[in-house]
Amino acid sequence: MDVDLMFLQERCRKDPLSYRDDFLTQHRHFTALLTTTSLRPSAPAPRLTEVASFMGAVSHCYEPTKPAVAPSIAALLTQSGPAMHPDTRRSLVKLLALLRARGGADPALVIPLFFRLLVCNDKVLRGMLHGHIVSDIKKLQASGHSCRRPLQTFLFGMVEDKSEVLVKRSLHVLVDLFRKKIWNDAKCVNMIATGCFHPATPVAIIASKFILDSESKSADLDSEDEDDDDRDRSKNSCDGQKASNMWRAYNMTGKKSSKKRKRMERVINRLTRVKSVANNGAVVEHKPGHPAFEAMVLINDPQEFAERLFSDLQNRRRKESFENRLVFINLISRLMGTHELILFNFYPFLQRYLQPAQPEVTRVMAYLTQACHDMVPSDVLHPILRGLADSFVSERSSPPAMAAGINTIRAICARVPLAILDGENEDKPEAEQEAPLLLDLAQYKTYKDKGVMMAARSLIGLYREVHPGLLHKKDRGRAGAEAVQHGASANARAYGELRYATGVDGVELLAQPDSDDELEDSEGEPEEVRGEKDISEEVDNADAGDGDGDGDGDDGGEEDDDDIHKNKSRSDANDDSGTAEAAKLSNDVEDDSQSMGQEGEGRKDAMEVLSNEDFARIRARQATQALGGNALTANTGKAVDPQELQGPIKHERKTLSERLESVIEGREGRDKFGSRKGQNKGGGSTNKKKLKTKSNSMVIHKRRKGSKIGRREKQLSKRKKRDYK
Amino acid sequence: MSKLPAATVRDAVEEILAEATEKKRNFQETIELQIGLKNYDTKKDKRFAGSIKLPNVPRPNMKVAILGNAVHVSEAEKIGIPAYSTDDLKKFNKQKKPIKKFAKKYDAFLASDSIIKTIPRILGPGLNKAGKFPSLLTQSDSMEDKVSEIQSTIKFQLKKVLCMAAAVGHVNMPEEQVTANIILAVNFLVSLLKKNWQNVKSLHVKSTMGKPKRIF
Repeated sequence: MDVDLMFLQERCRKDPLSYRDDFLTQHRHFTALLTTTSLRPSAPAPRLTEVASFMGAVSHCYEPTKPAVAPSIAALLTQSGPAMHPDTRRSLVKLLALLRARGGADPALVIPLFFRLLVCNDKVLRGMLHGHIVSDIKKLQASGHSCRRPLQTFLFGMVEDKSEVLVKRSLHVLVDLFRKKIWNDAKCVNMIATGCFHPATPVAIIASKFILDSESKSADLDSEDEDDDDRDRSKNSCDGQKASNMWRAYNMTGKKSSKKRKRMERVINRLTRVKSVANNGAVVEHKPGHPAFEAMVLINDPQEFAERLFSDLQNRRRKESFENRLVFINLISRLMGTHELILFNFYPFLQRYLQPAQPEVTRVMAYLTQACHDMVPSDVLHPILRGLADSFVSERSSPPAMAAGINTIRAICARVPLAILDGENEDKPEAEQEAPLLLDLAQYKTYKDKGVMMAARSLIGLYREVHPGLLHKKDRGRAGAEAVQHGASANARAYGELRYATGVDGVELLAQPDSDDELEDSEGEPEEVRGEKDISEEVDNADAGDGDGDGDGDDGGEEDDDDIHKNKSRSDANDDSGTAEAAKLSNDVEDDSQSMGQEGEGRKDAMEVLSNEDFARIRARQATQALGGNALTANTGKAVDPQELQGPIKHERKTLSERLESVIEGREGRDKFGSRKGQNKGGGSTNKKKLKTKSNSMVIHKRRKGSKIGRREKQLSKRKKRDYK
Repeated sequence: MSKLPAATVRDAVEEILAEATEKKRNFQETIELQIGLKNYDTKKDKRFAGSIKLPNVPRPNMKVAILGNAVHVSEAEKIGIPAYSTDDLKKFNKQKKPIKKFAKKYDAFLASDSIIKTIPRILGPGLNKAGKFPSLLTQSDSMEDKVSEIQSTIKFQLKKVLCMAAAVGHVNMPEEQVTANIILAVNFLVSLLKKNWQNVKSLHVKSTMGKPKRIF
């Protein structure tokens, strides 16, 4: 900046009154410059930049009598903003933001203007604008300013603007506002959701990804438009990068000392610590009046929304890239799962993609699973399951495909257990029902490939809980066989069946006499562990009973590896069957309570309000009896991870170069192994060494002393030593 | 030590009943339990839902319709419950407006087991959207029992806000019955919550036209 102007700026700040005239001159100069710039906006105007920064620094000193600067700048920017020289534009925007921060400009004027400027082809400027808009709205919100309504109307208008670029960038702003919990209400979500129907795909993708994952902080929304700024995203990874770079530099250059090393570690710790705090802090933040729901839950009229998306997918977006279409498929299926929507055409639509050769087929399978829920009649899903079994699970297909196929069938059946029945069997009474598909799939429990074998076993495990009558007799397990004998076999909920509790689950346990140590059992843990154990034991028993020495005896070398996989799969199966199991148990409890519910008044939960301690006691006792769990929470609506549907992946042997790479990676930042003996450990020389360096005359008497012992004595002492040994 | 003494509930109910007798309305007022939640993490705990059957029917005036096969329709006509056969439903022709009106006319539906699976195909998502998808009525069930079962079942479901309400009685019920209903409903609700009473912010009881009484 001009030296005079700097000087004047300092003076004005210190003594505004006496330099008032100078300020006014500069102000006049500034307005004149503005008018000249408006005539030729694209020409560089360094003088204007200088005076603008002066105005920004000083104008708050002349608050009351200040002639308005903001409106004229705003007018210029509105008129010829996009065409302006970037430097001039940036400086004017900076000035305007400064004025806005000091209350010298009207938000209703500035924020819309900033939005309009988002179309400019200037990345730095856009970053600035984005930051200003978000922080400004945050401040306005916090101060309880009344402009929320008009601002929202304006912003939402932006989303419907004609210009695609503008829509995209305003969506980014809205998403940012939601994630920062500034505008996290249903209105904002629905506004963003309208973006899903925008003719331009990038816009629709941004909106869809937001609804799918409204909580994640990392804004990888703009993966497809490279030119957009992603400061937030790179920030965290940048810190890690920096740390590892520092390590490398430390190791490769300079002298190593413990002091330097400590200093280094301190810096790196600070870098990583800040990151983790930033991550946690964002999650913890909660406003009392705003329960932060996910965007998925807040959408208005989800049925209509999903139908529209689906018809778009079939018509308008038919020729999109597969990757993009998968995003929409994911969104539709998540909506269906969360809101239990009825959209029967969707399942056959997905079936088209369910071929082993289809790229990304596990993702399609996961989306299919997400879309299944209680309200889908089983006759809609059965053909899909059949198709899956036909195309994936046959001797001709590869073992991973078979495993994925069976796992998907299991995951769908965990949500809609009766889907395994075909049309004829469904109408029969429970005891006579048969499921040929299930029987076929169950036979894979002795298949030679581990993934297939485990998938088949987890399917058996599921039906043991849900409907053991459908299984082959020897697959039913002890509990299942008993249940079939007693006639109460099916725990699967019939379509539309009304299930209700008649009281608090497990309240009759309170009537048992007290024993003090029970309360000390923690709640969830023992219960879960126990359940897992039971199941795995049962499977083991079944294995032993089968007699034909199946899968376990592969080859001894891989044994521990096997165990890990097995445990994992069992716990998976347990997770999935968990709800079914819980449903069954609650059903039992319900039956009991219905019988005693008629007397009604004897129950404790109808007489008095239970306290926290009562609930804790119930839980502890349920844990000791290994029953309980919340029967009424369903696992529908959650996202399904495609990797869960894949069987265990065998790791291929690494090549030499890969191994070497990992070895070198492991060496980084550690000292060399081996003895430290030869290395200089400091602390001066030893007496022995000194003796060697001294001149002979100084030590000759000592040496002579040593040789006083005769040869004979030496020999004797040596012999003595030897005999002792 | 209980968080909410039964006496408080009883007092509130007595007051409500007294107010209702003081100023008679031209309809039967319903007594409602309103619940506010707190410390509820909507992401971790997910939305919960649960239904419970109360010992005393809270909404005897609830309108239930039967969507049934021939046997059920004729049986329903005998008892005087409105009933629709599949042909009646097909007349809607999947038009949204009439189906919406139809759903609005009744509070709940029952469907015979033979036709319940076809209902989403015949009627579309209209009933689902209204949250009135029919419940199952099997051949062996007694129709009247099933209807009263539906009338006495209440559902707690968390939607876009952290508060809920459920009908637990009406003003013409004796006080003990209302109290028993409230206590059971509260117990059940609290058992659904992860941290039990620590998740409950407030409990109010009110009649349709009366003042709300805070009991917790």
